[in-house]
Amino acid sequence: MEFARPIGALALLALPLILWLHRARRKAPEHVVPSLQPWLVLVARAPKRRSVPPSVMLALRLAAAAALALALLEPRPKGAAADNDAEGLALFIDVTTSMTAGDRWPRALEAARSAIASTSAPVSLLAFGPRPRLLVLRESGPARAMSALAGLVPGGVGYNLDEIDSLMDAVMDGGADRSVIISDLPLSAAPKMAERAEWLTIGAPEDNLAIVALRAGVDAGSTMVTARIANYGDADVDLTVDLRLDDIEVADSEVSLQARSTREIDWRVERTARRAIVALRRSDGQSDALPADDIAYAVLDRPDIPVQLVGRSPAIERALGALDDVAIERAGLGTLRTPGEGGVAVFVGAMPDHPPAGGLIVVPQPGIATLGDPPSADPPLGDAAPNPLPPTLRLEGAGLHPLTRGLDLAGAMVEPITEEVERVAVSLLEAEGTPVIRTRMNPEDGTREFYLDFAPDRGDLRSRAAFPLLVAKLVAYAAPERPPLSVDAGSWVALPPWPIELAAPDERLELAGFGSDLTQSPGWYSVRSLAHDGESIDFAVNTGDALESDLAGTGSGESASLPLTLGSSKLEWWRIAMLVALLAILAESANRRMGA
Amino acid sequence: MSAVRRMQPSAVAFDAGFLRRLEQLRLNASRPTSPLGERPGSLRMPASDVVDHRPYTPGDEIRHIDWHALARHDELIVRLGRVTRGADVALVLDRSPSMAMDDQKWRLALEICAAIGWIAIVGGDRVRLFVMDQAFGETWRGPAQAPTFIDKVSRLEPGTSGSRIGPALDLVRREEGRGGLLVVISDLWLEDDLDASIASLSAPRWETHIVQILATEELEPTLTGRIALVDIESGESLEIVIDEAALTAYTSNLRQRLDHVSAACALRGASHALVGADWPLERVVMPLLRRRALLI
Repeated sequence: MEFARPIGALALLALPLILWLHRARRKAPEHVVPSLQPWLVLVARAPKRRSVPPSVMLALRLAAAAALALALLEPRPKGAAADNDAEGLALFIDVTTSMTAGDRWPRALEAARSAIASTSAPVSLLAFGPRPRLLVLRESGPARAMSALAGLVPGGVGYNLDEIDSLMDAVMDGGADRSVIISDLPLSAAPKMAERAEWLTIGAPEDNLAIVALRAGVDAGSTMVTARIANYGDADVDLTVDLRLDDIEVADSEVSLQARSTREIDWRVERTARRAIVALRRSDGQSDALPADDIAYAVLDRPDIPVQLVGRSPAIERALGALDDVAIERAGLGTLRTPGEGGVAVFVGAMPDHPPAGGLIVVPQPGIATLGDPPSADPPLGDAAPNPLPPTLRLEGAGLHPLTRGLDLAGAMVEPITEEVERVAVSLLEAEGTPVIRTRMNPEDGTREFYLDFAPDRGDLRSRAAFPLLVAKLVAYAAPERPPLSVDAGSWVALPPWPIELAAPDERLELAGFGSDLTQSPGWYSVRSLAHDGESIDFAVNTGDALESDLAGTGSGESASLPLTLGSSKLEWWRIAMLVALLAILAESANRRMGA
Repeated sequence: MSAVRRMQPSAVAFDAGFLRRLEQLRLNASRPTSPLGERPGSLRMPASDVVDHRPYTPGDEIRHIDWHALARHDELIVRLGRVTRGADVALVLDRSPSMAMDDQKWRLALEICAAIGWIAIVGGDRVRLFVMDQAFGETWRGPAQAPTFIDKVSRLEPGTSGSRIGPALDLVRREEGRGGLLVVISDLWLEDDLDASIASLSAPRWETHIVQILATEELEPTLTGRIALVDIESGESLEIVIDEAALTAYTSNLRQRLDHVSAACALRGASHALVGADWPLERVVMPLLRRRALLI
């Protein structure tokens, strides 16, 4: 037993005060009578009229004062944290997909609300999932935290305990704050964090079926759709797996799945299909613990990255032709178009003053100014170059930039063509100290531009096996970000740098650029460029994952160190003390009434 | 003591009509003891108002000889008349603080005293007024002094000392050795014993009448709750809790005390009249005193 507010002991001074007041308590009102003689008969009865002797009343008053003083001291079990000691409450709430199982999310919300309501200290609210989010930072009143709680939508695959730990460091002020984690993870999932925070485990282990992966790939002229389903229960299950392509059901498979096992199911479908949905349901009609992972989405086909090639460079053309998901389109400076999804424009020998939106790769040609001048109709080939041969430089080893990392370029000879390009800032690859690949970020739309300071059709770099890979990387880095075909719920999705419209399955619309983490809900997401009025790009968000779907390892009785209502043990002491005081006061009042 | 309420003299203001009506009354003194007065005594003497005759004896005045009897019986016969006498009336007035703490009570006590004194004086009786805390009495006789008696009573002020009836009655017994009519006006909240005091003034020498005046609050108290009762005379206090049961006990106890006073008076040949302080003097109190044979 310890006391949260030792200064409350000053209230014990009330005890001697009560004793003094008892001795000098108010006399009964006086009334003058002609004689006491007729009243003396009542003397014998007078003591009997006091139902409670004065000594008992004094004891009750002292008990009431002691109880109130005890309440002011705020007793609590030794070692128990009290939010009154803390400078603030940091509340971490798990928003991963597994929290939507059963009644975990309502219970988590209830616990969070109780924790917020039970403290007067500033509250910080953090949601942790794939990306921890700080929702409220040290707000004194509960309104904002309650509002943020109401707006939380659980959904997301996985979590990063290191990020949570870092965020906890940032939020907690010198370790003085109280930190509470509400999650369906067992305490053993993060023993290190459990030492710093009070851990409330929500829910109990449950059986669950899930589609943990859905892939699609081209195989022999058709598309192969593969779904991996898992039974995270302790009993064998018969189930039906349905496949829908472009909203048309095309197949259903009866599957028996043993306990604690996984299985893959394949379908071969036409390449014309663009979307696939796979859903499972138990044959016995019972509902599943986590319905969100009983359905999976896949994008089967997506337009290639458009690459407009202006000018001629056999080496570049050969390298581009080897890329699988690139649509090469030859164009002249006068026929350039703006790619709808933000493609890449490759300029060989010349570049217009106002290139189209998207990535740029600028390749020089010997004897032709790259910037400003129109390219020649038929640029000379490398083997027809005039004598004397220009000097060649030997490439140094691959740099640290991801563009060249892992590529065997060292020792290749290149013919540098140095042009002063003020806009170029960063050198990515050098040959004997001379930059041969430079890059910069277009400050207007955020796209990346790459400048090759060598003639790719000269020297021996083009004969290296790494050259096509270098070109492929250049195109990939230059192309504006496209979302992947499928991501896990809650993942960060890179988006084109210009304004886009992101349509979520729950009919939310977001106008954004660069990226979005609003992918909690599984389903189809559609990205449409607002700047270029192009086609939309779809991607799928799925929740099925062993991390979230295996509910057998979540929720347990091992925590329970934290009651749903934070500090309830202290509140119990308050209540008991106040109850004693109240009873004493009631007894006092009753005695007064009886005496009156 | 501090609780004593100083009162202004309660002027007794009897109108002339009431005084005339009082003159129609007389004190019921069966044993007139004063040689002066207008009451017919048992002693007979030669007189003009004949009630009897007796033979003439030397020394009788000739004017009392009944000449008609001499003519018829040829015998000297003297006409005899009754000798008038007066009653000695002793009025003992309690002016202790307990009498004065209630306006009605004190005023009624003065009015009763004045009325009885007026009736006595106008009726030819000798009146002596004894105030309980005074060691002397004053005398009034003759109708001419009746107004001064009322004036004296009107100017009486409440006393400050306790109420002991013993010394007052001893003074009466010493100064009025012939006995007479004794009227005690008091609330009988006495420090000493009433029984022993009136025992020395018992019948037949003394015709004693006790007029006990009690205020309404004394007869039917309305106090409730925890109260410290303070005796206005002794200053003693008693803290009690008054509820319905306590009031019932009080009433019962008071009734027992009144019965005891009545019994004690009856034992000594005295009458006891309990008068409420709010009772009208002429319409209620005076008829009550007639029923108690104090007035006729």
